Amino acid sequence: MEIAVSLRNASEDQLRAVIAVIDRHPRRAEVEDLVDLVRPRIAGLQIPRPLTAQRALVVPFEGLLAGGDSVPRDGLRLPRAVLPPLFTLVRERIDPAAWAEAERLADARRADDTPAVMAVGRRLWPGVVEALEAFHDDPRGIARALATAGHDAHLLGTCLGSILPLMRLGEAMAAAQLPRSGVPLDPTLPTAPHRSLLVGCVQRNPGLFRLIAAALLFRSEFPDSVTRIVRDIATRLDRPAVLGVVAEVADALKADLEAPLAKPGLGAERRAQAAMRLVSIVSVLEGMPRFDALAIEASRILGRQFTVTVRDSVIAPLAELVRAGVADADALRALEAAAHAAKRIEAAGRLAGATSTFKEALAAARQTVRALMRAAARGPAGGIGRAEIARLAEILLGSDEAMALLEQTGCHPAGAPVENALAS
Amino acid sequence: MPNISPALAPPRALQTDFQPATFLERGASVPFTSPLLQQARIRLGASGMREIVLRNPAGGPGWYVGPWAGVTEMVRVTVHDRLVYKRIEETGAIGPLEIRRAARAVSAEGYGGQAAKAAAIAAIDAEEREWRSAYAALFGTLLGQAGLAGSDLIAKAHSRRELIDLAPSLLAPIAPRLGLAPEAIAETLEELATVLAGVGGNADQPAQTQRDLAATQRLIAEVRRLAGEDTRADPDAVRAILDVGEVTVTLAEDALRRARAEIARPQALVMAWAENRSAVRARLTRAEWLLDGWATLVSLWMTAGNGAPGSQRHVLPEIHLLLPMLPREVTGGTVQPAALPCHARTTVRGAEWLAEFADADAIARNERALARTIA
Repeated sequence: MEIAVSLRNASEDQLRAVIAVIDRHPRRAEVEDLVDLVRPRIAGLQIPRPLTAQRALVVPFEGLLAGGDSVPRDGLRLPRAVLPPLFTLVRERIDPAAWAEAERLADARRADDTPAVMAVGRRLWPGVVEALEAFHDDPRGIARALATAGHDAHLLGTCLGSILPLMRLGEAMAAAQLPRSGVPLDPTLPTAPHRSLLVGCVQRNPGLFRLIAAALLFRSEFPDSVTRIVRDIATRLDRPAVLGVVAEVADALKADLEAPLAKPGLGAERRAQAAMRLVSIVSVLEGMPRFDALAIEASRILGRQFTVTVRDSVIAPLAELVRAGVADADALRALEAAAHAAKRIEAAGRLAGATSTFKEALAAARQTVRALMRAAARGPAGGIGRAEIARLAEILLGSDEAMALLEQTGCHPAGAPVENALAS
Repeated sequence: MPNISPALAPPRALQTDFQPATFLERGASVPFTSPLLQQARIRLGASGMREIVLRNPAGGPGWYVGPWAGVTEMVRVTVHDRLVYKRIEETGAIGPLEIRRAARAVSAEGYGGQAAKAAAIAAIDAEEREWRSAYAALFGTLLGQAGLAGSDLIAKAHSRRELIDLAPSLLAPIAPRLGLAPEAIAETLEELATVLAGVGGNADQPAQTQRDLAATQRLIAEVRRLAGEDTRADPDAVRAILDVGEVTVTLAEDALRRARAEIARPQALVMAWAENRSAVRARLTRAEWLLDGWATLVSLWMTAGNGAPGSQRHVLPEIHLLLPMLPREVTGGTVQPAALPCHARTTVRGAEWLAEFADADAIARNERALARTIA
């Protein structure tokens, strides 16, 4: 508890230092709950992740890795639980000199340093392919060794069919997925490798095409552009079946939206990302009955999710903070992150065609926010203030309405004495 | 829209060759967080009415100069910006320090986000300490140079009120020599301390302006280093940042040195203030005017420094675009402002719905800059 309080009260520089240490620790997962406490701040501070050999190793198939500790229910994505047996297998079978060289190259570099990731990856990916092929050739023998070490070898065996083909394309897959000079790569640019990767295998290896397309659709910052490439391939090569993978990804994203929330704040953010990715994909394929139906269904789901997100991730915790009369900066940041996530869900839903649900949900939120703002105006110093509520209202309802709410609740903040703020 | 007679309102104009003659004509930057108002400046126009100066909002070349009144109705602006606008309206703030105070008051309430709130509260606290330090330094030197006792009493005073209360009685012996009533001298000390709080008398404990200067020097040094290491850095941006930055820093150092020299002669300073306070204020705040607007650039640079490798190279054109222009009183009119890059926002066809989120990201980044600007 004391560690949690210290972490919450840490300055930006202290937080950067602590996260850097935690990030490099081999047993980072044990303190994941502590990191969760300050995750909104970490996101805001854009703390760079350190580059490790393991992080570079997974890049070729990272697009297929499921987020968080969830177990994917679709047939495309892989659970993160596959990583420990994979890392153990690779460490046992890869040339130790190659691993040592990779670690040396990764030392003191950042995970968003694309040239460094590529350099580390080039040392590792061929050895990883050899290790996985050995597992493929002798599954029982290696599985026994992994099981002895306490790993789920069966899971690795199940995922092998997805990881190995992408790992064989290691450098090309990494080049397609990693940003260049910190800027995400638009797949439609002439220099982007996405199109050649997909066209190169669509006829000779449809299974590989499915894996590559899915990895790019799940990972790319431009899922609409990837969808356009797939659509062009379907049209020009007269192979409509290739759109099947787009439908599979869209269905998987739809399922993500409907999955119950484990952690309200983080869940809202992941839902928002899934919502935007889903509508980005289906909007490119407007006019195709299968995808139009998906869009209609998505709009209904997004309407519901927006209502739930606003109610459970913004309004309810806000009401609780106002009642408690105490609000720390991280709790407020988490509320703002959830409100932004709700707006992303709303924008995605509106693009997909829903409007009335959002109006109703926003009308309900408006009433509650007004009441809470009045309560906050009468509340004790140190609690959540009108400013914080106004900021949430601004995100959800827009600055005109937020300003109107401030004025309606009798607040004249610009003229308020600074001492009030200092006292809080 | 505010109630303003069309006859009185200054005309709106797009000036493609805007080169202010003085700092006053350049105006003071207002730390708005709305993307379209970024680095907007407020100034007193020829008619005595306040005007806003901002980059051509359409993204083309030139500067838009128009009435300050109703600026928050012109584009979609944040609640924070509306309240800063209101605060400026109420206080009549026009100089960099006053604008910064107005923004701090709004941020201290929490309207600029949690980081800006913490920064504002700390800055208000620091400013009070710096005011007491400046007041005590002026007061103590004034007494010491007149051979009067009282320094020990000044050192024991723990609040603004205690310091102010000491002044009339301790200053009474030198009042006739200065030709001013003790109360008038005390009042002058208060006003001077307000102006000099940012200057600071002790280089070991840097005050506001010294801190701004140091941050600007760091920015320039880092841009120079990047340009030396990375040939892909935009040469036009690098040249403009280094040219304007180096002149700014050199002049600000000189202005700070002169201001500190004046603090060392408080008798002359008090008499000059009584004679022509606006001229003295202009001299003492020259460094503040020179550095005005650079805190935002420092923040952009530092934020990019936390991003992926290459991010600082990518932010150079934006810093170039936002560079505070040097007035002709500094350049002598011999330096032609470099052509600025186009800053029109690009929107991908079919992705127009994402523009709203680009704005939200820009506001979040501007709030980070706000926390630095008001610190």
